[in-house]
Amino acid sequence: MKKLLCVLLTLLMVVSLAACGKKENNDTPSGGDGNEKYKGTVMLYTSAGEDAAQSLKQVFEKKYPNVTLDFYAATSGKCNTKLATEFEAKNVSCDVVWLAEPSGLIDFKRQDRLLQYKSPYADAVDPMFKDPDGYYCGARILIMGLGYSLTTCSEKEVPKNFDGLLDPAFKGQIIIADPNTSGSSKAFVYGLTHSPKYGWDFFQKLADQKMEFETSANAVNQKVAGGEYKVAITPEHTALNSISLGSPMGYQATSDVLAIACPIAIPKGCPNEELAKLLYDFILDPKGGQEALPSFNICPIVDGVKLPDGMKSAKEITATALPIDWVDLANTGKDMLEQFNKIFGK
Amino acid sequence: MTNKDFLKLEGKKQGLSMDKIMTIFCYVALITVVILPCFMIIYYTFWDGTKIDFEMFKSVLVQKENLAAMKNTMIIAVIATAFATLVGVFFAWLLGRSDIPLKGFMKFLFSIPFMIPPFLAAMSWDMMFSGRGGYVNKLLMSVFNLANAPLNINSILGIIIIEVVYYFPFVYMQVVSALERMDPTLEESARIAGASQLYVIRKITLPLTIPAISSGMLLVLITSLSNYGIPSMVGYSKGIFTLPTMIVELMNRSGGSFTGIREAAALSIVLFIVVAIALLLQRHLLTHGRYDIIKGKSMRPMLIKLRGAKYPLLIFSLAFLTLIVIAPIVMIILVSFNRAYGLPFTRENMTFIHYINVFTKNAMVKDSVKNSLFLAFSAGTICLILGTMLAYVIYKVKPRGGTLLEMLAVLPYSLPGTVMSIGCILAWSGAFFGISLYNTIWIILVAYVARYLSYVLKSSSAALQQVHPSLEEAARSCGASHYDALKDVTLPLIKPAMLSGFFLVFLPCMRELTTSILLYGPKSRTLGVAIYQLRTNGQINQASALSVITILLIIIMNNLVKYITRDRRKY
Repeated sequence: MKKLLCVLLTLLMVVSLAACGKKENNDTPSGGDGNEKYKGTVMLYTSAGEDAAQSLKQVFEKKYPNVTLDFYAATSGKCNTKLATEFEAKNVSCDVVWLAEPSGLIDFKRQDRLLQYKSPYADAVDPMFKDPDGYYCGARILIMGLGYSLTTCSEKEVPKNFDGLLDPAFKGQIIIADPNTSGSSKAFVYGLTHSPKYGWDFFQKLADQKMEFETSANAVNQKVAGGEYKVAITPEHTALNSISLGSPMGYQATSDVLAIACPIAIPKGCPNEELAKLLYDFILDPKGGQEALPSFNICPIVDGVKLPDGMKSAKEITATALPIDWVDLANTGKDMLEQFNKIFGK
Repeated sequence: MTNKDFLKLEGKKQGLSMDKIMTIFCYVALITVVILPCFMIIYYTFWDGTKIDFEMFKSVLVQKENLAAMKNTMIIAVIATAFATLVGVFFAWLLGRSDIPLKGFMKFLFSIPFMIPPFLAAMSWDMMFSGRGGYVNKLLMSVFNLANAPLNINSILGIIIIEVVYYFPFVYMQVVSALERMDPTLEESARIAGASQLYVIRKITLPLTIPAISSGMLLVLITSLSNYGIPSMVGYSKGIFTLPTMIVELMNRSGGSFTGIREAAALSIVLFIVVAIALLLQRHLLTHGRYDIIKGKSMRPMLIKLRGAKYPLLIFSLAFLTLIVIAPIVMIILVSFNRAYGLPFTRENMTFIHYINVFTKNAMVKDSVKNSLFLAFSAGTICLILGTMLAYVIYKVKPRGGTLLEMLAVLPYSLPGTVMSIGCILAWSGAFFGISLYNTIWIILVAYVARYLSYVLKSSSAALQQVHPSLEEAARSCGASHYDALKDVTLPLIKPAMLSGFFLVFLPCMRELTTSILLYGPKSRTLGVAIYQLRTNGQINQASALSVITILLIIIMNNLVKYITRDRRKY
């Protein structure tokens, strides 16, 4: 029986590898527009998630057939740590970095680790979303909301705003990605602690509600889908993507809006500066990367992209959003997290 | 017999010089692979760029959360090691010495926990037994109408259970190989002299296997102390941290700043110290009661008849193995076919889409299979040669500073993979002789060799300690050169242990994660990295699909190598 199993599996693997090979051959594309002259590999570190990166790869490589887009998908904290290590090792392998929030990049900017680049496409991005000196630029909008389990919670029961989480029904039933590693959660903590309506008091109460943590936003969604927690504080697009894949969870937008412009930047000493700029431009291009974002429920940052029904534009979203001072977050982020960890006994 | 051999026989110098060359080689290899990365870690801990700085280390040491992490690490490691040893020795005895049926099948099952990446196993147990969401918990709660989950795996107890289950094969493998090669006449003479079965086990079998047991125990202890995957997967949401997870946590919390890496390095020095104490303790215990098993001249060991206990024990063993080996794999397989995580396993929720996606959409998967195979073979071979040489130098040549050599070889394993990899990055990115391996596959290979060398060292030295000097002396007195005695007597005797050492390296390399996650570059992703990336991105179903493929790949490779080496394994 073991032998049979082995043979079957080997077959399976050969078939699937062959399938991969075939796929590649089909990809010999017809780019046009002189885009073939760009050759090589460009490396993207991103917290946007594997499937979003995958789709960006597809549209980018379609436009630039001789360029390969490789990516490293992880949380913002991990991307930052990896970059910091590379800077220290004086061996940067990342060409473009795309994080959930800019405080880490502000740190890098101060350490003179980033390349100053004023992309022609960056002009279309609202000044509030980008660095005035051109070291980084917002490239998508991320909204924090509430994901909920369809098995243990319901649309009726789920809170319509963040303060609804303090209801006793959700004691021990709330989960969030750890703000120590997740950029979106970090921004969430900053935004709410600096809002007069919430403040640190709100987080003290969340600690009394026994809010718990997972390593990343998507891991949080799985916990909710599995029914372990009723409700999750999670980025909207990750929840909607899970739902569209059939995951048994729902999403509720909150009346207090927490929105973040997720920035891109080019590290100094990146292996391929020309391609880095190419990718940077492409991500901001309304007919390039920006156009591909809505299919992954991600809100583009520039105007002029056709939005699906129900998706608001970047300006509409941020008009009502809780204010976040990113430079202040870069300065005080460490103390903020220390206080947060103290409250939650981490 | 040629003149050359006579010359060698006469001049002791030549024999010694081979030992010397090996000793020097071992030192050079260990300094390159182990000392340099460790030095860089210490350098960055105590050097803040301008001056020597002890303050940071002190503040890290007394932080409340770090102290809690230390406590958790010790509790988990000690209890998990104790139970893993009990379980391991019990099964080694059952399979090595009793007449229990289905031995081959059970041995096959025992090799499986080795093949499942610990973080993956933890993921699977989490899917089964996490407090309210685990599939098995939900099932048990609805069947028995329970208000609370019967087992919450997200606890210290849960971490201990998973560690026992995945680490007892370390002890089992060491002990079963010692038992199989033990001289049966010792036990037979005791039986003839009228000793009861239990008395023989207690007074003869057990003491003779103590070197193997303690070396297995040490492996479990060190693995548990420095394991990252299990506590991070199941303990994270409840805020249960151990030293390794705390180290990674410190690094992640730092975000961009390099102080976090310095703090992590400082905490890893604490972990160093803990492991060093464990190692010294083990050496201390071993010197009080040292036994040599003269082997290589025995027949098959005597099997103990279980009689009435035979079938109850068989049922118990099979039930145990089903729970710990088969259930997690079934869980992963089910999830890999499930349309979306959290859906019940009904027919309409089953799909092949994740397997198709893994192979067609992801170029990294193909790369990762190739890379992991290459790394596992190369690291296994290098560790096999270097580790056996080390064991020989330490236990047979016994040079001055042999203890130091052993400490050096075991040191990297006490480092969590993440810190080891940072050491490697700092050391091999042009800091020494302008060698820059960063983002290539070679830096991963260097880290793997450093990390897993102690596996071969332990298995080879346990076997070497059982080769009595009299055997080699006998060969020498018959005119064999030092080299011949080594080649024809010692090496063949320890070959089974060397081979098992190879697998001890090969299998973990196939599923390695913590080291490679920081070291891989665009072209050097490994299977562990690929699975981890899928899992952290919430594609738990695709992660499961790739895990299934990984496990199958490892089983196939394992059986292939076993098949190739089968004929020569009998002694």
